[in-house]
Amino acid sequence: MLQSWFKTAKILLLRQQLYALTIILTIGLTLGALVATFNLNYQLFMAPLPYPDAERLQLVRGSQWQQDKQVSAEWLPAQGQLDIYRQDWPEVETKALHNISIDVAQNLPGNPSFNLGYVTPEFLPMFDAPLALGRHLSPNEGLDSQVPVTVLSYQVWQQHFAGDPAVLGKTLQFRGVSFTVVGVLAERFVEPVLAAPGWSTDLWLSYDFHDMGTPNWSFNSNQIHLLLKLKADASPAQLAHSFEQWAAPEFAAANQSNAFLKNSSVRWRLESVRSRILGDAAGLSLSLLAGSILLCAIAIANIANLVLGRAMAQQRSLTIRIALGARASHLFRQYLLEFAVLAIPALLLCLSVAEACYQSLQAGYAGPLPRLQELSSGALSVLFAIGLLIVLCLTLALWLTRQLNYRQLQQSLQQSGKGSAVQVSGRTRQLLLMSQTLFCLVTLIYCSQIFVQALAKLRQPSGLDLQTYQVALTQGSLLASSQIEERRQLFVQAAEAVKAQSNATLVGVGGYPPISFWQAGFTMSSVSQHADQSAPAPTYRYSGDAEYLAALGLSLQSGETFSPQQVKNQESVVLISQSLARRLAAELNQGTDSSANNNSSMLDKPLYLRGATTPSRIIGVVSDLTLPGQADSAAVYTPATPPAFPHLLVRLPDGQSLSRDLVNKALAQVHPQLKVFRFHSSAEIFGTHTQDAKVATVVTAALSILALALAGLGIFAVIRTQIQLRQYELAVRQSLGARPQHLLQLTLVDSLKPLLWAVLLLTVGYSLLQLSLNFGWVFGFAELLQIAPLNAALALLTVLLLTTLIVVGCVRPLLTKPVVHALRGTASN
Amino acid sequence: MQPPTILMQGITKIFATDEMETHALRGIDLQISSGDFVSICGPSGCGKSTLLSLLGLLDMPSGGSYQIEGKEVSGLSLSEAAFIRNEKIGFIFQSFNLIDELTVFDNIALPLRYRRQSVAKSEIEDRVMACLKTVDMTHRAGHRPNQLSGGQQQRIAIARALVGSPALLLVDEPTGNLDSKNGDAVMDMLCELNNNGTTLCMVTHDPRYADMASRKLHLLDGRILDSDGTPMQQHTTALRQIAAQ
Repeated sequence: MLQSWFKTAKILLLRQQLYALTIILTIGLTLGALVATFNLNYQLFMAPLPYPDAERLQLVRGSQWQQDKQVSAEWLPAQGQLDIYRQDWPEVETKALHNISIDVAQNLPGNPSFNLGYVTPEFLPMFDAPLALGRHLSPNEGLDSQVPVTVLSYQVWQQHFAGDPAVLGKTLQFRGVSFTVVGVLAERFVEPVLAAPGWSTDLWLSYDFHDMGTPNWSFNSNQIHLLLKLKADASPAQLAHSFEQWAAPEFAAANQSNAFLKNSSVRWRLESVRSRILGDAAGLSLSLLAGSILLCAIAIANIANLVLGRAMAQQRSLTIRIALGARASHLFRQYLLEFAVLAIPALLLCLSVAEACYQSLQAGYAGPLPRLQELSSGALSVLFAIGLLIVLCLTLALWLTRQLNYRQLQQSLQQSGKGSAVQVSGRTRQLLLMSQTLFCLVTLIYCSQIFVQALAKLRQPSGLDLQTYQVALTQGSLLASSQIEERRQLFVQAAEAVKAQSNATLVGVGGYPPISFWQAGFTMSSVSQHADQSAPAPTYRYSGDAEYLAALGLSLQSGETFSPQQVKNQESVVLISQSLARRLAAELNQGTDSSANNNSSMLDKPLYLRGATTPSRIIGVVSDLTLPGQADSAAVYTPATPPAFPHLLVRLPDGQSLSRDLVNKALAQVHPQLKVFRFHSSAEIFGTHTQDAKVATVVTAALSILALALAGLGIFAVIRTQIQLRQYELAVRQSLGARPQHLLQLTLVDSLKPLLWAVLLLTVGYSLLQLSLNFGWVFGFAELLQIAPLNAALALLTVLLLTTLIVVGCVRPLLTKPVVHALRGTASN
Repeated sequence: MQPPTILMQGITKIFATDEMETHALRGIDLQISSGDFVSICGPSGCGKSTLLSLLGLLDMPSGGSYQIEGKEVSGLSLSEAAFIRNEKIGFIFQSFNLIDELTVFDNIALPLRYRRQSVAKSEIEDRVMACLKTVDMTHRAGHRPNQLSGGQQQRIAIARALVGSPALLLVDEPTGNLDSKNGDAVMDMLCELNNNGTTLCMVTHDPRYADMASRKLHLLDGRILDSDGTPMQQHTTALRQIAAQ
């Protein structure tokens, strides 16, 4: 057995290198991608969370409604969350609060920025966070204790303390408060990502020290999370209902005088931690799996073609084997042995490809996805790959043995052999060709669809000035020790100092810019043209001075921009974007968007910002920003210098650059507590936000090329075999006077029939899905079914061209050599 | 004066590989006139099949001149050769070479469908049916070749060769795949065709059938031999004189 194994391996790997290499590469590459995406999907959908009783962990969420109309999909009063945490609920076993922020450690060299997680003591034990050193937060370091302690992540311990065990007891200073290190988490801890995909907490601090200010019933923040571990028999829906029942009167009473919220209600719900962690990743993850399954399908059809072609070329050796007594089972064993020999290197390649895929996913090339930390080439990957290969080898060997007509092979021994080489049915070959074409068409259509959309996203002008720098500042202990006006004054001075140091043409100061390092949707708000805040229009809301707006890249379409006086006094004036102007004008004109000039028609009109009882006057209309991840361009800009966490937008003359050190030097002249904690160019931030589109273009282009190459290889194998089998028949036709164009036409028509069948099948499948969707039989395919006719036509044209070229290439030797070569069977030599 | 149907002068065919050259035909001079029935015989490897391939324009000679009905055909392109083959030559193969996917009718109609100028459907039908009648196979028009016996298949192959009214019928071992009864029947049919004016050139191993031809040529080592076994010098000289005229 072992001897025949090595003999087969030697023949395949040394004497038939091209065949062996093609099979190994095709299986290894495509199966590797499939194993990786399968593992990713298993990790996301099936793998148990690495936390005890994970199925009982729930996150409290909510939405804001006004008369059965949803105003905000994510809205929960901070005070409500806090109060629920403080109360006892019979259905709840444990509760924990979690809040995130970014800040600068003031007492570490270089003032590094850290991702901070403010938690109550129940949080880390709830996730059974393993410790490398020390302890978790203790009960006496909980809510309202005001005990500043911290637990370090393993990475921070290694990077900033060189893994020193004496780190316990040391302090880290944030905003003037010194936090004592009481523990270090173990390297294996997998953080539950609750806030934003890709978020990784560096330090866990006592909850009391979060930077949100005092919570109330009108304040919502997507940075706060209330986590519950329910009792085994508790119902999440009933508990959410209890919360809603309890909170409704509290919310109404607290917001009686709030024009915006007094007519609102909050609907509470519980979301499992698993679902929260999965977030929006399901679409991307399933798309990756679907893509790799398609590739695999093409590859398997390809391999089927290759092995079939090779088997047909081996007719002589097969007939001799049969003459010597080989039965069908012997042929099966021989083929199984051959596939097994090829499967070993393919498995190694497959696992390497899967590992490379994990590395790429973990490096964020496919965008932020949850639970990537847990992805690895573990036993699951290996078993899955081996299982797939065993099934593939057995199936191929069985199929191939059944395809070869044993009886006809036996008979061919007794014949002259001329023109009797057909052992594989024409239907099988046509089916293979059709499946190859079908898979290739589906891949090409969807890849082109995604590619075009991603490219459009990349090429769409954003309206943003990408030559600017975004500098986020931390104010350290000033937040606690200074008055708001004092801080505002310091921020304005900081802008002036940076301008003086850097020769910048513009330095504006404002809040979070429309696109920044922080979460998208952070600046969602609404405005109304009515004093009672009815008919609110959702908008983004930003604040800053005139230079801030100019540095963003906004151009004034009508009216005027903010004056320094308006910013200083935070006057009730606003600038609005063109989109918002159009929307407001349409509402004003009772739904008809026919205003001659929306830009100027809205000037001097009153506008109520969310929660405001007095109107702001619209003094200007600025250009729209079209930003990745933001479907709407409606925005309102207010004149203000933020009281905390300001951003400087710095525009330098062309060709000049800015450094973090230079800004820090300028800030040091203003106040020692002022530091840079995030420093990015706008282009860099824009690049981060369009990373998914870039990845999509590269992946879909690569997938299309791979699919086309694989399909091309498979189509070539089938057509070449078909033409080889028909060589004698074509030669007979030639001997009867058929000219080259007759043969070309004949072979082309025969080879394009499977393409027509594939198109027909695709159309029928598409129509059935469309019908099912229209009748509501299936859900979730809507986006999948939005096929642009041009993309489908292009894909079809590409496959048509490819098939035609292959046919011409394969039939050419018959057309360029005298007929006698074909009659002798040497035309293709 | 009517030119001979076939006139070959000094035809050579060399098969060359990287290592060696094989001289399959070494200066063949051959004339076949209208109404002739020529048989070519000789041992395996003597060049019979090569000569038949050259006669049927299935291959091109390495040297010499080849005329069909007075027209030089030795340097034609593949497409031009296909025209001549279609209009002037009919083939009958040892293994019949009928196309399994086509019916008997369509197999016979094939040469007409490859005509330079398209032939009307009714004419095709008439001519195919006439040929089927000639070989006494009218009742099998709608059958597939694999539903017929070997003898029947060869009769269909003869009908296909005849349908285009060729100037020359090239016949390659017509009885090689048949039993003696069917072989005799096919040979009777070929003789009858010749008696009716069809020009035939047949390659055969069987001396009994070779003797049925009006002229018998022996091929050895790529040369045509006289009946006494020497190369046909006299015949060659006569041919050259005809060509000079």
